[in-house]
Amino acid sequence: MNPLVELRKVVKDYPMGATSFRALRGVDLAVGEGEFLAITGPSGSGKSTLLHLMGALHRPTQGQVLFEGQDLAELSVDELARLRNAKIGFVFQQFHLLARLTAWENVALPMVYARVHPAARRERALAALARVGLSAFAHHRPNQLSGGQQQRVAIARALVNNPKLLLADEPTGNLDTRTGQEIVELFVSLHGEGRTVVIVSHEPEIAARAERIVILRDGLVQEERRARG
Amino acid sequence: MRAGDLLRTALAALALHRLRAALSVLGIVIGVAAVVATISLVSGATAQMKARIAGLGIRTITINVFPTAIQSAAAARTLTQELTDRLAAAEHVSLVVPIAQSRGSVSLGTQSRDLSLLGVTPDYLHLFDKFYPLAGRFIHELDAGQKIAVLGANVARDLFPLDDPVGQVLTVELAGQKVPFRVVGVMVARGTIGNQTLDDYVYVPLSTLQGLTGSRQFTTYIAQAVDAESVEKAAAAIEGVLAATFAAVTAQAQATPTAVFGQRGTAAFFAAGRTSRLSPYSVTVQKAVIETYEESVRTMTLILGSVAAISLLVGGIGIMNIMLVSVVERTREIGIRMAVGARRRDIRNQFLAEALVICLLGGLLGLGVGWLSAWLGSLFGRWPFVIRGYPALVAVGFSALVGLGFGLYPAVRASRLDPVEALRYE
Ligand SMILES: Nc1ncnc2c1ncn2[C@@H]1O[C@H](COP(=O)(O)OP(=O)(O)O)[C@@H](O)[C@H]1O
Ligand SMILES: [Mg+2]
Repeated sequence: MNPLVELRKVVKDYPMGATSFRALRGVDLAVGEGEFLAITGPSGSGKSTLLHLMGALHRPTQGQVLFEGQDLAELSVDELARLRNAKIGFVFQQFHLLARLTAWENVALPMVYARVHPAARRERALAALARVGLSAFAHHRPNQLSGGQQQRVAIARALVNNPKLLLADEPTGNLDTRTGQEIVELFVSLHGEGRTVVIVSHEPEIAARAERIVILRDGLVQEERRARG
Repeated sequence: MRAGDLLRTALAALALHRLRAALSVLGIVIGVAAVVATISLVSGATAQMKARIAGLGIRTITINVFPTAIQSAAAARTLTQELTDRLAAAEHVSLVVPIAQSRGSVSLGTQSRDLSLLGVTPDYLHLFDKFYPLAGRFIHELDAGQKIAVLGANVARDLFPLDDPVGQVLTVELAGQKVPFRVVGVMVARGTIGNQTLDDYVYVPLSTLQGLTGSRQFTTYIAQAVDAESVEKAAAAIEGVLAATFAAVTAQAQATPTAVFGQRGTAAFFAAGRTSRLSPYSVTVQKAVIETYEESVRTMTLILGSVAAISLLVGGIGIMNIMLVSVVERTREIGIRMAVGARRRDIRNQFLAEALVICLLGGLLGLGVGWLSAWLGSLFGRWPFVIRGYPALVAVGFSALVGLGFGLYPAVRASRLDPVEALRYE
């Protein structure tokens, strides 16, 4: 498998007043094309930081992040934005939908920045909503939807520009167990369609649905293992 | 982001906080309305003032020529006609009227009254507003050389307190002769215009007066500039014409003095050249009036400028304040948009578009409100209601600039947010 994203000796410091806090302390990790990877580990171990680096939302303090072999350090801020827009789909624990937009308008948001013609957006947004089973709720606003439905809208939004990489940071963290299971199954089936999926979760039974599990501790990869046989 | 998306997003964001948006728009409305109203009011007041000052003869330029060495009446007439034509052709000059003044007297029974005779051409009438014959007529082209007179209002009242002056004969003692003038008209009372007392003159044809008094007198020309603003330029052009003319006359006189002046005249010409360092002509404008006029326009403009600046500044600060609040409130939204691929300039443009919509809306409404109040003001102030296209454009353009100017800082701040930090913002 060719690596889609590769981290080499990645260090990430967060400035903390005069000093700084080292959230990642030299991580080497490669995610193959079409792989389903779970990142797990205790709270504060650096999972979200790692995901943000893979998703070109952050730049590393040291080391390299390569996306399709391209060193992200060589890209400008705007080029990183374009990369996120075209090749990466994010799903967050807090859903992060825009409250004043309807479900389909939220899903259409990445197409706005891809300069998709307005006339073409609606159809694509509705198709993405159909994929996550929410066709009937296209005109609902987030506050008219349950948590699970909101997360499905967020997944539809992540899918709408047909990205190579799907990144999910604790996507079930705000959901009850059953709804969480459904969302995880959605990711499993998206992976089944050939997408590369990286999911962060500290829940073992969710991580267990991935092909491979990486366990972080104190900013370092503590353990890697195969899952799902 | 497409322009349509920018506009849609901006309108949606403003619709979310209607009251707040309305108040920001109001700030701009007040600013722009103040500008528009002030421009309109000042334009009206200036137009009124201009008309008033124009009545004072601000456009009038007085030219005195001292042809010390010109001897014959025929030469004087030729010079007058030529110079009139040349001066009238000068830039910024709309009209040139040669005049000659002479003193005479008339006997009224036992008493004698002094008279100011003004030799004029028919164009003289066009130098002043609302100056026309009340009875009879003014001097015509065909009157050249005729002994006819038109009386100023005061003269008519003094000489003919009871009778109709028109058709009467006025015997004037002038240059040692008794000359009978037939009165053909009486002018309307016009009072003093600038330094001209129109009502105290007896108007006679210029050629008649020149024929009676000989040519020793200097000649005066009254020129009129095309408008109040170009008086100084017109005066400069006139000076140029005079300088060129007199250089030519002098050169010719020096080459063949007897041909120009005759024997005695030649001697006088050279005598004048030796003894007099004075210029053979003078050009006078009504400086005080012009300065007063320019001063008032300056003052008006200054007032206008300050009102405009202050009110728009206040409106602009209001916009900046609202936009800064809006950026903070929507930090998470900014993070979300960046996460799904918004570039920095997309975020910046989104907030700029909001500021611009507020300002343009305020600008257009302000234009209406401003014109309305200017119209009301003109009713109370009794000056003309003047609507100008360019202040309208300036006002709307300015409000757009205010929007861009004061919206820029918040918008740039929004665009510089770190996406992850923005997403974590509660
Ligand atoms: N913006 C930040 N500024 C300072 N410290 C941060 C910031 N983001 C994360 N951290 C710290 O870095 C460590 C790792 O954070 P994170 O990647 O969110 O861990 P996880 O997702 O595994 O809980 C934590 O100790 C956290 O407090
Ligand atoms: Mg986390």
